[in-house]
Amino acid sequence: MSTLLEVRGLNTVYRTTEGQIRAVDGVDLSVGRGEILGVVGESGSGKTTLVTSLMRLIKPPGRILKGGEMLLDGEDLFRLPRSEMPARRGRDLALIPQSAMHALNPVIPVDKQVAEAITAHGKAGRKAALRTARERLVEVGIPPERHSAYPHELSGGMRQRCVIAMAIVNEPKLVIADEPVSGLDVVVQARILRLISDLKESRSLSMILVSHDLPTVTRICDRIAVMYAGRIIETGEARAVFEKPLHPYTKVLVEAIPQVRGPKQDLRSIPGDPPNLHRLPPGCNFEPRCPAAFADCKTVDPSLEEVESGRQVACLLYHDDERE
Amino acid sequence: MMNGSRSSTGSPGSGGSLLEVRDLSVRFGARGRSGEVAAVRGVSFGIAPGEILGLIGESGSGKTTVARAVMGLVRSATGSVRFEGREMLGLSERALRKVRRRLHLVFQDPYDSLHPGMRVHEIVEEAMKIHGVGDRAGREAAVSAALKEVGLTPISHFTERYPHQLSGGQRQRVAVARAMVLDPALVLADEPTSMLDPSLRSGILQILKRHRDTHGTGYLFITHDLALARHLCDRVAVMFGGRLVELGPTEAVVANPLHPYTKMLLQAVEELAPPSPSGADYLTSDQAQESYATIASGLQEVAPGHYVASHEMNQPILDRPTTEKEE
Repeated sequence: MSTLLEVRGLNTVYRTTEGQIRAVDGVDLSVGRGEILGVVGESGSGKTTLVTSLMRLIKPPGRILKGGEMLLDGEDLFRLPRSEMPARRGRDLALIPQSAMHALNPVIPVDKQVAEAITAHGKAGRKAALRTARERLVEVGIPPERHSAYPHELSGGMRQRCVIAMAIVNEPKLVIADEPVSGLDVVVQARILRLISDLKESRSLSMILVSHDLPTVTRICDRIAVMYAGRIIETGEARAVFEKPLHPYTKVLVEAIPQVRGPKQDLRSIPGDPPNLHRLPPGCNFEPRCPAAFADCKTVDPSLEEVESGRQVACLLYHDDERE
Repeated sequence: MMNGSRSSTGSPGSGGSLLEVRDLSVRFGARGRSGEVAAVRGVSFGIAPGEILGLIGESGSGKTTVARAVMGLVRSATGSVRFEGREMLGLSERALRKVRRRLHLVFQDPYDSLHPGMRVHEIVEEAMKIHGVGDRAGREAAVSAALKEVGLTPISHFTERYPHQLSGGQRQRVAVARAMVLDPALVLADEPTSMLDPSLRSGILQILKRHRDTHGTGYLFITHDLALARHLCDRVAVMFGGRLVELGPTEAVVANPLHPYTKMLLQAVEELAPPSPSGADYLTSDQAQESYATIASGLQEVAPGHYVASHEMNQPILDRPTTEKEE
């Protein structure tokens, strides 16, 4: 699998009244062609800032620090003039935003909205665009009789399908989905994830899928990167990360989610609160909440290192050389 | 098919000496006019003291309306809701206010449910003031005890804060403390953890469970997540289209779901679960939700305490790949 996206040294900061915070802190990641990379983290982990940065939609008081690279098909999108980006969004990389209801225009029928995404790039006339839009709506499972419906006339799942249709209609190289199923009922969640999985097969879609729910995205992701306090703290093949999480925080993410089958285990929870980016500890960011922390964790800030083939983790438990 | 079972002994409503809901129905909209919606239709269940009953269903299934009706917040409710032996439907606002001292709600969204202009200790204390409980010192002690119980320690760190100074998990702990401070007999919790991060969710669940164990509080726990219910609830009641379609001990329902809708829910949960070595696979069939919309409301006892609504076992599976129903 060849590499489609290569991000190196991405730093995004926000200026606040209490000083500057680094919401994305030196993130490297890559996505192969036809691959789904899951980015998993909780509130405040920086995953939405990451998505917004990749779309280059960060607005003041936030900004992307110079020096980072975002190579899509070998071209560094961070070096493009800002004025070039609207033409690239939707065509090179498309976003499936968190809330489908808010992403859709309430006063325009959904087929027209999807068509607008085509005509906005001047790729086709209105009639042809509408025809293509309806084909994509059928592809994502919206029956023809619903094509001219307004967003409020559709269920949450159908709205999500429309937003997915809009994202794929210009055949972007990369799709970025920000929590595409959170807030939906379980039955609908399963169907939307199946749709994404089907589209990945039929269109060899390349995707970054952002979620707070590691077990749920394990099945459709090829690889997973776990974020905490703006950094990637573990990454590896999806199933391996789920079955054998290494970082203590990843373990919590796996064990905190109840399962309906298998032995009934006590759910894991961790003490403390999500990290405060204004007051990060001197050592490992997770140390104050970590059940496995030892003395060095208070002083040594672990870097992301490869511990086995294809698996990287930022934790002193696995870094022999950093351990005293 | 077994309509009579609702009023006979051994019905799903019995055994609930704390709360007994019988034949609860709620209609919204003008009676008899088009647009009238039957949100809840003939629902019966009971909750014993110290029992956690999970009310499972998807958006629009009527589960929140059931909770609101139990609180006496739905004027158009018919049937019977007996709480500690007292009929709740038709009570005057004044009488309801008294009863509500014994029964409390925890809402889904901790960002909406706390007054932004009140400090934590005022939020927790308010219900005691309304009900005229204790003197100032007594109330302060109760607030401290409640905050301690939900793990907001050191207490002095939190009492003077406003909601916007708290994280989502901390806010929900305040909401739980507020529900516990009057030592209610029944807590209605409407998806109290669905907006929280996974690492914080189980902390809240543990607090609820411990509170039940130490105080014998009964819980009606509303959720769409069967896996979550499995970890918390003694029994589960599954709602679909305003009706109860299955009710039984949690393990029995999860291990042996009888109603097609319960089966579909479980299949979806399994599909969302990561692949196990044994490989629970993708849903092979899309059960059209509409096909269950016309089932009769009677529940039939098929195993001790395990009830299921009558349904055709071999219903044809409608061929519609996109079956999210319009809300």
